[in-house]
Amino acid sequence: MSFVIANIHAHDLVAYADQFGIALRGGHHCNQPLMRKLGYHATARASFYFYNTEEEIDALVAVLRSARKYFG
Amino acid sequence: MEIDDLYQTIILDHSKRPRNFGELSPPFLKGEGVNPACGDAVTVFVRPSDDDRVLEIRFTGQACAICTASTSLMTVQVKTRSIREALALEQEFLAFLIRNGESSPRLGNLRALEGVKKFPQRLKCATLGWHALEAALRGAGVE
Repeated sequence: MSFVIANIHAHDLVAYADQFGIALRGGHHCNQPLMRKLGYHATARASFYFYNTEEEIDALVAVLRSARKYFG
Repeated sequence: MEIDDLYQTIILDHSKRPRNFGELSPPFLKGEGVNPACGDAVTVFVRPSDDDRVLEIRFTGQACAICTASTSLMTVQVKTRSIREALALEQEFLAFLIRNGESSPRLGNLRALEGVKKFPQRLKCATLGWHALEAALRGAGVE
């Protein structure tokens, strides 16, 4: 799932989430043509799979909320 | 948190309120820096004086907080310096960040980027604006 948070570059989001043990990817995701078409410079991506739990998703959401405060 | 070493207050300030942000009206020297891996892209505009100083410097682009802040801090540090001094400062900054060089007072607030040393994947972010500056200044033909 790719996403953007206003005013926080994906690169910064990835570094921030990493501090809390959450691995996101950020950038072009080897797909510059689509990024250009959609008008995005960079997005963050969380890759879920069957071994991820609801608690982990809640943790991700909490970290994204706190990132918004951190980067103001 | 270790991340606080990377995002010190001055870095967050310069990323949210970058100094010297915007274009210059011609004539200007221009240099571009792009990191296709992450999407950071900055353009640096310089208007040199008759005696080869950085009379005016501005930058535009879309980049992460580290890149934006580094480029903003760069414009503050090089403005009014001679082109030769600006290029020397670039080498000093790169040495400081990449080769554990000296942390001299000439670097000023750029020393706040020292935290990048703990996050090597962000080195390109911190140096992209400087490479764009060098590309612009090399166009001035000053040796």
